[in-house]
Amino acid sequence: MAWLEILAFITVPGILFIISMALFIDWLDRKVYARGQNRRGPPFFQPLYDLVKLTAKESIIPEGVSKFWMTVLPILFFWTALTGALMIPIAVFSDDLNVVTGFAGFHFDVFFVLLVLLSYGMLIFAMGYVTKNPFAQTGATRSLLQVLSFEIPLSFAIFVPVLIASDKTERFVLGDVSKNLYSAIGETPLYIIGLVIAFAISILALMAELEEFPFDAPVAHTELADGWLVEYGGWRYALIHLGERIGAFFIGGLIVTLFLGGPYVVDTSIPFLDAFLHVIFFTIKLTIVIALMSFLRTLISRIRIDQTVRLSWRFVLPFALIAIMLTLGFKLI
Amino acid sequence: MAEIYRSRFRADPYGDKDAPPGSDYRIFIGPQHPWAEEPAHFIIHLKGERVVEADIRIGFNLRGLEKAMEARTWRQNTLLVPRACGICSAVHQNIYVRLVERLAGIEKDISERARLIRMFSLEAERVHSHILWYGILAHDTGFDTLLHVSWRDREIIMDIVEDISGNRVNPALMMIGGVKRDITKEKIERTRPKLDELIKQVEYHKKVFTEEASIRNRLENVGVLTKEEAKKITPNGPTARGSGIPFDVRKSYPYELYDELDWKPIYYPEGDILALTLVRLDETLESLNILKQILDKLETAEGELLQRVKTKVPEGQYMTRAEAPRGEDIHFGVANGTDKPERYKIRAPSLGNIDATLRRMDGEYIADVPVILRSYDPCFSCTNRIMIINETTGEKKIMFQDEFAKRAIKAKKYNRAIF
Repeated sequence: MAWLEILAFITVPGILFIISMALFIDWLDRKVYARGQNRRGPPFFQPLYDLVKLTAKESIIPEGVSKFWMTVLPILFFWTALTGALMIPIAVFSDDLNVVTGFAGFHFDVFFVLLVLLSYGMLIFAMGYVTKNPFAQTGATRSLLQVLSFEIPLSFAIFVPVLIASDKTERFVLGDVSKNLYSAIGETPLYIIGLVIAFAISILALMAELEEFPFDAPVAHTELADGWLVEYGGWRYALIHLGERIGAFFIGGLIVTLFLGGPYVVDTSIPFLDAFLHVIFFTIKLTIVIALMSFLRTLISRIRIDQTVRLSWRFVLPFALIAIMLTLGFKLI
Repeated sequence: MAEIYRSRFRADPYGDKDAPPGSDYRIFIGPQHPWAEEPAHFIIHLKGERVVEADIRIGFNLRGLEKAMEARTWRQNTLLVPRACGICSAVHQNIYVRLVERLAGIEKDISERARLIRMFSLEAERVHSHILWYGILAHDTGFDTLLHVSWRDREIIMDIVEDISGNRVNPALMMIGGVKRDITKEKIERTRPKLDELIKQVEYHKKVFTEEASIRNRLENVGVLTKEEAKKITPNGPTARGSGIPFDVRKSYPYELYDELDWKPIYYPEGDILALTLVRLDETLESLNILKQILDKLETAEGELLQRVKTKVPEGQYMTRAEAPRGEDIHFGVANGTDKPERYKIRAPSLGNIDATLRRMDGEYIADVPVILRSYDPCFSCTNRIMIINETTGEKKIMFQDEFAKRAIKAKKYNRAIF
């Protein structure tokens, strides 16, 4: 089956699928955002046109800035996002795990996902910092501050479904969580309280990690002229933009996997039909999560960075602790 | 006293020698920046995320309007002077025609109907200018939804202006001696339901600004200018009224027929950006109210629309002012008995508000700077009036106030030109 796996790795649900989903997410996000604001929104292929146009443009390196870092970091950022996206379990590939896994999935990959998330945030800081531009450096510092304050509540929120699913399984694998989550809740319905709180927190953290509207202080257009992105142009900007959208696929996919049961909806026991249905259902769920996020960001205005940090430490983190404590409590009962 | 009037124009804003004490580094905003629609250069001295001192350089968009006016006749200038500003064009034209009418001695002959149509144009302009302003303010705070919603509703008043004048932003209705076009009965009937709809929408915008927590947090207690400070720095227009100074040229020195209508000036004492926003929102509602009253009066008002005026204006000089959407707009004209002005001077309201706005920024977060800069509705293209260029070397120079005053005193003493 090796050739089939390689084919799947390149096409569906592999790299091509992820990139086209990233472009679809870009379109969906802009469209929902526009409709929420009483606008028409872009045509379906607009993200692709943008990407092609950007690659044709000149990518300028400012005087006195290291060309090496300005080249390596965007590529690294893109690959980090892609690694994260390849960890999202969409279809069955590993016979010994017997659940859906991502291409890069393995035992204890729940923890590895957190590492990828953190390096995603750190690379944003590094990319802003190397450009030696006051706008970019201010934006990069803000980005780091924001990532650090939302990383902790997000980690707690992620462990709520893992804890719930550990009633049914001994392994810490992402696919196991999505498979066993709802059967565990079926036995102990009180788990749903903690899960709902954690879900709300993870949507907030998703918006913060992606620097979307209420939390877009690091890339604030009117304050910092696009913040840490300011010096990147041409193919570098295209790569970063695509990386951000793959990041949206990764974090949105993580939420789908951990809170919405991943690709599992119906089980037909026919391998190829199952794989096909898994991809379909995963796409539908991801679309719902991204559309929810896009709609939420039409509702409120940008939060200042000090307000963001205060919100995270004083409001989001206590709720994350409450969620994890409730789950642990019901588990002990 | 000295602290408030300290010179913000530092001699060397780009070097470290003259940096204000306690500042780490600077951020330059403009002349080209996504924040700014208009060219201005701000130098923001920062300590961490806090502003220590802000400085401004203007002079990127001198169009030589005043000089151009001296080369044209009074009648031609009627169509040149509204180009002083992109948004508040009607108010510049109104001040200009009142100035020329006064110089020509026919200001008593203008009919009531012509004056009402002029006021309709002025108030419609105030409505669309204010809606534009708070839409962009919402964009600056990162609330694009409100920008799009408010600009969608702004189209209602733009349609009305287009209906009565034929143009969207530059109505150019006024002429020396009256107005160009009439507002007919059918137009009045068409306009009334649109105004009612717009009032409903503006009330909704006001509800969003006051009740939506995230945008309120961005505006409340930000960039406070107290009444005492405002009295010393003397801003004008909504910037002053937001700090509790109840000064409105329409009420204090009434022109046209503002004293015959039933309306009240708006002012809020808090002095923060939210107060400024509420001043403009309430003023929009009040202006819509005035528009409805004008329409009622227009049903019965009689009179000739346009008076016959001689092309030559007798010798004399006069100053007129009016309440533009951004504040007090002052024009000064000197006539020498020919059909062309000897000298014409426009003092647009933004110039008087710059110092108050820079004062607001002290000690605020860098994130609030765009909001504070937006607060006085910047319009630098109508503010740029002078640029000193040495003819032999081509060197451009910015004059500081002290130096300018010194030169002026010397020039008066020895009876010679300033430059």
